[in-house]
Amino acid sequence: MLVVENLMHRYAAAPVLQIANLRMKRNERWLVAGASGSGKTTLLAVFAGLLRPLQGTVTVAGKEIYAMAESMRDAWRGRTVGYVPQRLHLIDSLSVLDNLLLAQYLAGKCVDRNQAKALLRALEIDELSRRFPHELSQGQAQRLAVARAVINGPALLLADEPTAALDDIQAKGAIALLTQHAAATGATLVVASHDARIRSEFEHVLSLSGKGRT
Amino acid sequence: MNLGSVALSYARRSPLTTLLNVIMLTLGVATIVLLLLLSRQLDESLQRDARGIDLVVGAKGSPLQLILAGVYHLDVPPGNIALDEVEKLRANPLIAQLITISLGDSYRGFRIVGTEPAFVSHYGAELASGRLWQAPLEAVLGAEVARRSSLAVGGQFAGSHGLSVGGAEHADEPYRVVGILHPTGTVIDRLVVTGTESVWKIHEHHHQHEPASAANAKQGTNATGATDNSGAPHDDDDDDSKASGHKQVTMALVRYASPLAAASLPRQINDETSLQAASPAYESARLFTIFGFGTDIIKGFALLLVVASCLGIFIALIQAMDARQYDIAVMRTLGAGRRRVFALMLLESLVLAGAGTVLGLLLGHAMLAAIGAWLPAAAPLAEGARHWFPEELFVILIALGGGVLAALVPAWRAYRLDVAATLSKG
Repeated sequence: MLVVENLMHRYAAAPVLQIANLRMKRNERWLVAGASGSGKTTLLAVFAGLLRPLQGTVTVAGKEIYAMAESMRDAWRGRTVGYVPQRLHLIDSLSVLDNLLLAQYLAGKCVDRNQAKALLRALEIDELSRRFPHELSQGQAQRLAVARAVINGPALLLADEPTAALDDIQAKGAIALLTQHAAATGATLVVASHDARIRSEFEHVLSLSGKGRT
Repeated sequence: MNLGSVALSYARRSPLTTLLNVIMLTLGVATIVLLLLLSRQLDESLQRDARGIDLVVGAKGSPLQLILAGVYHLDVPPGNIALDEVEKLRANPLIAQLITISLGDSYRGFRIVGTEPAFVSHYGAELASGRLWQAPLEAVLGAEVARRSSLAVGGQFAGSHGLSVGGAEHADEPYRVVGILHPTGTVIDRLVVTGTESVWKIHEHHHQHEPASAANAKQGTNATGATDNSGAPHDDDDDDSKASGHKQVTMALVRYASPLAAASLPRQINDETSLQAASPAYESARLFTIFGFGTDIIKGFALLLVVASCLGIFIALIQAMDARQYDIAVMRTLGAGRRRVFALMLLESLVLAGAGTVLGLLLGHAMLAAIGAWLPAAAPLAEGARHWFPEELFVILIALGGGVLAALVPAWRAYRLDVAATLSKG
């Protein structure tokens, strides 16, 4: 599903990422672990086709993503990748429902209100569909961010520190949400986190030290 | 869901800023549109009113005043001229048509013009009801006069002394309305037209009954109708002239027999007679040059308003970009390309500029209509409020172009946004 070969990226002089090879399969759950500044977010950006590494190749679902033209890669990302950023970054000017419809629209998919409502229902936040993100609790916002990431049925689901600032129960709930949706669609789940509480939830762990894979 | 709805949602997110920017742009666009419409309508109106009049012959004085009084019925005439001299001119082979007019009185601010039936046909006016005058003190009303006064055929009214509202009424010599004209879109719509004899008769009677001292102090008129609202020129020779049998008129409207007349007739009149000849085309152009300077200054200020509002949009977008960089980054992760986020910023600016432009166009037209409804003299200008003109396309382009320019820098920042770095910031 996701193949990395000879990957290297650095900011200024010091290398942040160095991975000789890595293979992730469909349905697998991966934890990218490491301290702050170890390159976790950078690696997710590379996987998402947002940051061209200085060296190496990344192949997702048989496509070498940095061989694609940028516009093609943008379209590919919309269809293939679901991304949950650390601070969620929901679009505050749009309602809960519109946040999902925007994800469909930007991915170039048919805007399907029924599908969006069904997803909100599955996440038990359908009654909030007309509300705006700033009116949601942290848990509700987390669920909306996951809904936005999975609404287009991505083959690769990426989440950056999804449990940061959450208590134990909320953290467990957030990971359960991601794993359930990844399992439901057969997506590869990659979660970047330094949160030791969730380590046991993942069958594969990729540890980054700031210099590379360990 | 599309980029437009996202742009609108951003505009709604900060309603006060959005409202202020839209209001500023609306005012700027409305001012420019109003000035464009006014100058266009004024130009057309001046051309319409002067059509078929090659020369105006009147008393010596300011040629512009002569044109303003005789063609556009806006100013007071410089004085009177002897009918004998006018009749000599009428026989000049260089003249195809000569129409005398005598001014002096008004009715509710509408001028009463003593003239010949040819005056009516010159403006292409047709009777909506009644007939033309056949005897002294019979009057035909222009369409606008009839509309505003509610006078009908058979009705009576007294003319007021002078050319503006407030003069003493000739209550003992009332006019009888015998006809009402269809609208023509020319100055005749705002005139009360009667025979020259009516003017002579009223002022003959007026002078007979007026004490000499009062006559000297009055607002300014004479038996033949020369009038000065400001109280200045009253033709004091007038009574003597009449006593000696020399009738007077205020001026004559002349149409050349051939284009060659333009070269010789004005000079001939100015040099060889006591009369003054003035060309409406030349004086109107001069007038526009004077007006043009003023309107250019106002247009400049209006343009400043447009620039200021575009600057406001620019500042709002730049500030919004700081807060919105995460939105842009997330949109990129959702599949939006650089061009799309660039387009989103442009669109947001265009939504504001478009709203300001549309409202400005509507307000400009509404203001012109209001001016026309409020001021009788501006009624023909208000005609433009109902039409759209090609010049307005330039206003639209300027406003929208300003909106695009205002968005270029923020849009470029959105285009160049380093998504990975932004997301890693948190």
